[in-house]
Amino acid sequence: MGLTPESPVWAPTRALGRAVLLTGVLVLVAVVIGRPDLVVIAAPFAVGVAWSLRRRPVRGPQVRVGLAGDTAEEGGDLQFAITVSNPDPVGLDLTVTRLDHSRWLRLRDADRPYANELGGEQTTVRDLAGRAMRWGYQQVGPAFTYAVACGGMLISGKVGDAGSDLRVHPQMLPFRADETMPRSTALVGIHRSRRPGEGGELAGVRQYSPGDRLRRVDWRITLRTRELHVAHTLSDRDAEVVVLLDVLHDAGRSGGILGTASVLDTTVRAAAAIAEHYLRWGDRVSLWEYSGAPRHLRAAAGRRQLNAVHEWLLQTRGLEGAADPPVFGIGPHEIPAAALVVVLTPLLARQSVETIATLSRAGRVVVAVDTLGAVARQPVVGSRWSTVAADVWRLERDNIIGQLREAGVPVTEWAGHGTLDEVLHDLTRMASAPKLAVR
Amino acid sequence: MTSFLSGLRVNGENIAAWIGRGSRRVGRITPGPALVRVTASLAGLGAIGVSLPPSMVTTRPGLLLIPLALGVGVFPRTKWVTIAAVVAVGAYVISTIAFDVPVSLWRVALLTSTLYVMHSSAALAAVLPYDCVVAPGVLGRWYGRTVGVLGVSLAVGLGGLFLTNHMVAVRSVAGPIAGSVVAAILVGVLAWHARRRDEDSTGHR
Repeated sequence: MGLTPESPVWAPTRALGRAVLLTGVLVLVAVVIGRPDLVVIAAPFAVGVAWSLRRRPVRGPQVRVGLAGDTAEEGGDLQFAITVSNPDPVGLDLTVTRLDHSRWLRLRDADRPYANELGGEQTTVRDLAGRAMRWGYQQVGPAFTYAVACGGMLISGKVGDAGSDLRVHPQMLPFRADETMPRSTALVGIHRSRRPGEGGELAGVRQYSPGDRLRRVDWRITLRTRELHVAHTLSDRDAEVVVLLDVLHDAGRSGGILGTASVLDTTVRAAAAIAEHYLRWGDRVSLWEYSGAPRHLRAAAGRRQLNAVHEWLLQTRGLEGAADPPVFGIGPHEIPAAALVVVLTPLLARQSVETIATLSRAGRVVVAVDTLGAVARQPVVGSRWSTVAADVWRLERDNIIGQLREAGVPVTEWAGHGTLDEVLHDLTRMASAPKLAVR
Repeated sequence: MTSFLSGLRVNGENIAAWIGRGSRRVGRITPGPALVRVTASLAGLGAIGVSLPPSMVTTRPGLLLIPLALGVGVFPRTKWVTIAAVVAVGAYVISTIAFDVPVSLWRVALLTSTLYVMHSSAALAAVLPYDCVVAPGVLGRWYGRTVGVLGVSLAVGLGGLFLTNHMVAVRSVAGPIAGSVVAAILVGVLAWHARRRDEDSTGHR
């Protein structure tokens, strides 16, 4: 998309004015005081102007930014090209092209303007390569170019191409959760449960009882013991996972894929990893963004949902004015009763903690994943009172985490592989334990 | 007193920021634009050196003109270049009139060459960002054209000057009048040539 729809106006440069001025002054003085040597000094200026301006361009240069694709992976390689063309038959002395781009795109030799000559009705293509350093919508462009013609006597106005957004999907952090799901929504799916039933996971062999299917008979044991035995399996369960992204506050400085991760980075990358893991298992995954303007991605399963999750996560932003309460909260009625709720939260906002506690009190299985991580342990630079204040803040935060645990919400720090295993194990054991009921 | 001290502090911060920006710029400068700017400065230095009387080159007034010449490469987009050129030509005229420095062909050729190279280099430096990556052909073509224009001009001009030096001078009123008319026509043609770009660029021929 061109930024300047019309051809640029060619303007005289200061060099043209200088050449004409020097020519006039030198020739005039030469005539007045009778000094032909001054005419010789003026000659190259006059000849240069006359020779250079004998043919002049009418139309200005054009520039286009072309991307090899509109999506990339965080940390992945990029390739695109800047095409500069001269539609005019008159050649250009040089074109100077500058490309602006997101600071999260590391492009070789693209942070400097590039000057090259361009003949009449010619096009030059400059290939650029680089790397996407952070997830999100990363701007490639605008690209601007201007041209110089007629021996530096004329300069064109700037023309540009707005470029386009590159969708950089978040990096898939290594994540696995081998532990069983605490609750299931139906007797289908691939999760091994702790309850006996029709499934593929062998739990043992027992004596036949009425109701057992004949295809479950273990003939080897039956022949050896002379009594009918059947294979005893655990049922497979289908589960729904709700990933709640708490982005009321961002903290830490993002250093891209090679640097430190901010809370927002950890939240988005962890959400992508968790969603990818459970979607690969065939579960249904939905996403909620807890911010000033909460967003929701409906629960679904499959590859298509994974793509939707990636696109949805790209729009995650650190909230500005985070002290303002959200327009509306995320109530328990919006979360399915049997879903596993994974809350990715830095535990910095009171509203976030209240939401987690409310969900837990309403009987939802909630796991809080602390995304603040190492940022919370960073030493504070400042006066000794800063250190004291930071210590008090840490104590208060530890107190909040303790209160959440007392309310039945396990809190674990995001650590990639196995982050959820331990807490899921505890939750599953609690879910399968007999419960007291008041009648 | 307090306002004076705060003013000093603000000025100090401004100067520090200016130095910081300058050092960052110097760190980003690329070989192509640097070469062009150094060429412009050296050519300016040469032009002023040639224009001054030989006895004045190493004197204090002569040395004071060195910053003027070097500034051509630092401020190529300003009127500094024009001022440097006018000063060089003025010094040349004064040296030949007031200091009786002879008008020799080699001196005229040297001054013409250095002045035009300074002008041409400054013109290129003015349109090249200081941190620009320059394709190899750009500089070659630019200076090739400069040398071509200079060669043709010097051949014709010095040839004409050689001839006029061997002609008998005749005092006449008609000469200056005719010369002035020719000068006016020349400047008029160049100015018209330059203004023609408005009609061209808007497509209204």
